[in-house]
Amino acid sequence: MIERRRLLAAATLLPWVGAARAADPAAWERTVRAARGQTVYFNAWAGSDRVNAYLQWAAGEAAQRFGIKLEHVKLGDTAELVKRVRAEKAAGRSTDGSADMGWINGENFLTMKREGLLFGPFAEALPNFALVDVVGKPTTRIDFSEPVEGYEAAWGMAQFTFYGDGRRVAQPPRSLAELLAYAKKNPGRFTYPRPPNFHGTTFLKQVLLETAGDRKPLYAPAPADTATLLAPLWRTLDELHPLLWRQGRQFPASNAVMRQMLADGELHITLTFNPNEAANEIAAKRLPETVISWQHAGGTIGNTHFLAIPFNARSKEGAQVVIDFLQSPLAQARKADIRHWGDPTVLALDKLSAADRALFSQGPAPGSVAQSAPVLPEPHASWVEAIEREWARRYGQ
Amino acid sequence: MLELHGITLATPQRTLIGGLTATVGPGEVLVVMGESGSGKSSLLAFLCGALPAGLAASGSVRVDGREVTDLPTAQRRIGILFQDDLLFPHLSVLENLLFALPAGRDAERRSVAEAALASADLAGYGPRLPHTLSGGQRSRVSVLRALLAQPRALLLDEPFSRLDMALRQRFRAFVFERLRAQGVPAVLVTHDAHDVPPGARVIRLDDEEPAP
Amino acid sequence: MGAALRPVSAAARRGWWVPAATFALPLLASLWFALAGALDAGAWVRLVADPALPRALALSAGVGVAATVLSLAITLWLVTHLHGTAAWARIERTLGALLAVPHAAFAIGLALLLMPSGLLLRLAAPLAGWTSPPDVSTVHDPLGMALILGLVLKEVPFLLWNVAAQLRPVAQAAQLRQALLTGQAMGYSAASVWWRVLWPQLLPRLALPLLAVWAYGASVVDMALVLGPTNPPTLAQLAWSWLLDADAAVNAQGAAAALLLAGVVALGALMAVAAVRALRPLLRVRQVRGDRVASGGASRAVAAAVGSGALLYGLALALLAFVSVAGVWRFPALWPQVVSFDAWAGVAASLPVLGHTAGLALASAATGVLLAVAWMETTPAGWDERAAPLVFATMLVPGVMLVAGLYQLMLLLRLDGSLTGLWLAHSLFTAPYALVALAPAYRGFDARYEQTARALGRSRAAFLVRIKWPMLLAPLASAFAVGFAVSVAQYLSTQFVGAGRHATVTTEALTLASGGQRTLLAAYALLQALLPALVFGAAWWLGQRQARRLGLEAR
Repeated sequence: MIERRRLLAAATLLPWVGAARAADPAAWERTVRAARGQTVYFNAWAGSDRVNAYLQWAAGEAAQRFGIKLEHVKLGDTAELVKRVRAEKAAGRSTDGSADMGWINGENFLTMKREGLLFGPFAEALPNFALVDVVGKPTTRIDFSEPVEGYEAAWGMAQFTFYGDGRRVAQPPRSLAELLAYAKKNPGRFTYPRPPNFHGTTFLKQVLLETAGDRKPLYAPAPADTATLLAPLWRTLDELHPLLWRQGRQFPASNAVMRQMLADGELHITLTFNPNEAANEIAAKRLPETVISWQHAGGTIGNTHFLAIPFNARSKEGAQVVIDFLQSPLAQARKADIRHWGDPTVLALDKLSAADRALFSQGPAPGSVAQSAPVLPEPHASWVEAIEREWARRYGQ
Repeated sequence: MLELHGITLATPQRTLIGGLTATVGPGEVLVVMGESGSGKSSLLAFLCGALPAGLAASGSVRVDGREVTDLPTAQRRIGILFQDDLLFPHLSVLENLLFALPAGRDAERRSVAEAALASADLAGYGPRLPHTLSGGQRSRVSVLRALLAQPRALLLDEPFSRLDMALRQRFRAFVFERLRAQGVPAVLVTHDAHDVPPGARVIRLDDEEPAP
Repeated sequence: MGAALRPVSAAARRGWWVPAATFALPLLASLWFALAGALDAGAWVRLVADPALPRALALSAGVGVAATVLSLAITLWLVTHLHGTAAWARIERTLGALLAVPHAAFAIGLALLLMPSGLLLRLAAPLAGWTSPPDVSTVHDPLGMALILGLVLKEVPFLLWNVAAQLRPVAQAAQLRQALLTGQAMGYSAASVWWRVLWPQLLPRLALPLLAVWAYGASVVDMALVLGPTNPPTLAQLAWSWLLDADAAVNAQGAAAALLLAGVVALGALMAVAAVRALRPLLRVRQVRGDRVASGGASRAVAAAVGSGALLYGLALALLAFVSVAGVWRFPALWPQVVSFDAWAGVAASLPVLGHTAGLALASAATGVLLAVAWMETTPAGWDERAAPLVFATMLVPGVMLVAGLYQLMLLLRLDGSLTGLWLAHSLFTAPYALVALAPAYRGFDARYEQTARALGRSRAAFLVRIKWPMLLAPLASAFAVGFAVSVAQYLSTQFVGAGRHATVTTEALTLASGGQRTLLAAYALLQALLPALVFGAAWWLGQRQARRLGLEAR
């Protein structure tokens, strides 16, 4: 399994070996100098006060180190950024865009790259790109089965994780079958967000990966007729739904709502993309210390989230400097620190100096995953629409 | 027959009316005169059963021998007419009259209302809306309406002051004639001495004691 | 009663169309851009093919109808039995406060009360023996009843406020009193006089507020997100989420859905008008039937209704404050396990945002009122009817569509991301509300005052500044307060036209809402309610003082 992943990663690296230049020091010097005094508008989802606080810190560092004014433009949903850039392009605004940097992933990246809304390639010319773990974390170069090609810079890792109150969930279910058994014994205490919410869709993809006989077709574009390939998913859901919260007739709007329900005791198990989310919440005293996190033993879906620069950004140099800083060991370590955010790093720890590696040392905190499971790459992006459409038809009313 | 015994109306500052006693027979008119603010309209409000807040009142009111002082307005069978004709604008002239009539068979009620209109030279005006009538016509309909409700007494709060001189005389005569014909005792509030019908008792509210 | 005469010179005033055009042109441009998105045939095909459409449409329409009918019935019933009593005066005083509470904030408070892990069920838990929140949909129920309840609780004060505004001028109040007395003197109970004589005259004047209630109920998004059904949601919610999607094809589908919804709202309004027209002759027969019905014991029921309404409001708001400090609040405890002030610390950190919000709202409310006044001073009264659809477009067309179009306009004008563009965008939204709030009082202003002033040799400007506007201070202040509240509540226009660079209390609240932290959400909801509440209070106090000074209001 690991071998296959390494081979896959190595194979994808080949075309890039020639193209990947080490960051040209002279060109980078020019970029840093041009960036001084620029204002960088960073459009990022602002739903978490911890993330917002981290960005405040980053802004302070950017001002101090590079003389860059980093402004956090708060979004409720990354789609707002996509729409704005698209509208600007349609209106012929090819310079002076409203956004200089964006926090994106997966589906948004695909849309923006295809519509020519992104500036690049730039990511592999950044100095700190050398430290990114492209081998151990292949999703930093292939996002939803689409090559990144330097149009976005990896920022953090995500892996689909479950968590719940250890007092109720004595034996965390570490596979789909165990989850079903738990639901049978405790009906109405688990659910997933309503697709097309990405947590909900990811849960469906996870079920599909665990029940599919052959996973290969899922990494290729979805065919016109997906009925046979998706059949195992619907079979499982038909069995699962009556055991869910509200008997599967209603679904919560997001995983944030589910987190609140867990805190209230309405749900026993919830899900997330940040393996350290439970630890975060415990540290913030919003969840009791008995909460535990786990992943399915066979592996759960993982991906990377990225930083990108819109094609019409005004402060392209400033954005690149900030992105490079956010990829630096200092910034990544603070980001991975459960006391601040807890988002796993994209860097390869073995490529760091001993001093930098020490920044990352942190024992497991209460609530973090005890036994991490392998990462399953995301299926091809075209499967998302197929799954969401069929789900809406079957369970959407 | 309308009997008033010892009617007293007072604000916290002063007494407006002190111990008014009077009897008004069928078709008779009791005229109450005084300057603005002397309590004329408040007296009518009290007789009607709608004393405004801030006024203290005592005394007894009897209609046809029945004590009505503590009854709500709707049960007193005392009608009231104001300066404004107050015809309901969303109803036609005929419908305004029908509103006042007691319940009964449609055909009967219609013929009574039509007859009333005819008696006031307003035959054929039934389907029209009030705002299409002249001021004088509206006032006449208003009186007809008040009387069709078969009141045992009628209160008139300066009903003539909106009309010009010529109309006023004719309308006055019309009103008093109707009251007499239907045998309804009335209390008329006015500030114009010309409104007093011959032989009517007049009470002036500016005096300390009501005139005998 | 005879209508006030319009000054003959009004139509001849040069440039009378300027204020109207200032408002109409950007609005039309926005509508144009917005509708262009909906004219894609493929979008309509996808919309009709969507499996959730029939149910979502039925939900939007059903919720709108139920909320409107119930709110109207309750309002009429309350006014009939409470008008003229001491309770009415007390209710009138609190109406402004109730109206100032933003819809979303109130919905959140109500949800905290009703949801399975909310206060009501925690109180019931010991009796029912629950150790976990029961698996029952008290909010997000599939029929939308929680949403209807929330809407009714918000719209009844709004309708009451409109009725009170109609009945407050001295002339109106005196006429009302006399009409009531006339009817009662004919043997009818007060309630009968209301139903047969007064409401038939007053209801036509409530047509516009009722239209607003219907339009809002059918196309509400923020309350529906908190209380409404989720599977499927109302059509308004679907349109909103599609319009916000990153995929352009889905956006077009959303535009089509929004257009469909606007059509349903318009159709509903027309059907209501036709129904009333058809029913009127039948109603008139009933009104003049002459049967005197004894007044029932409605007073106790009315008192109970008012009491429970007030209790629900109070609880909803109190819960917001309570939950904002409830760190961990495990069911079925009534008291939180962990009390934490982190949320308020977060709020304190964003105090500058509060200042920006207030400044922007003050500017756009003032502009909106100015525009409304300019409109009414220059445009002949006849144009009000002709322009009414335009004014109501901002209320009927779903906000997302309008903002999408407005944003395109701002892009072309290169005003996006700037404070100026944001101020203009907000003003476009506050102006129609200011107009609707101001129109009855402004148009009903006795024209003879102006004639008198002119006859005394005073210029028009002097008349306006020294006579008309001081006399209309109360309605002007309320219109300002309404515009202020509208500006504070803007989210989409601030995020798009302002390119997200100018954070307001509402954008902070809603971006945090996507993270689901309840304490923070409750704290921001309270903050969101605080600003307009202060302004409403100030406006009310100012209006009362002026009115008492001028003897304009019936006591």
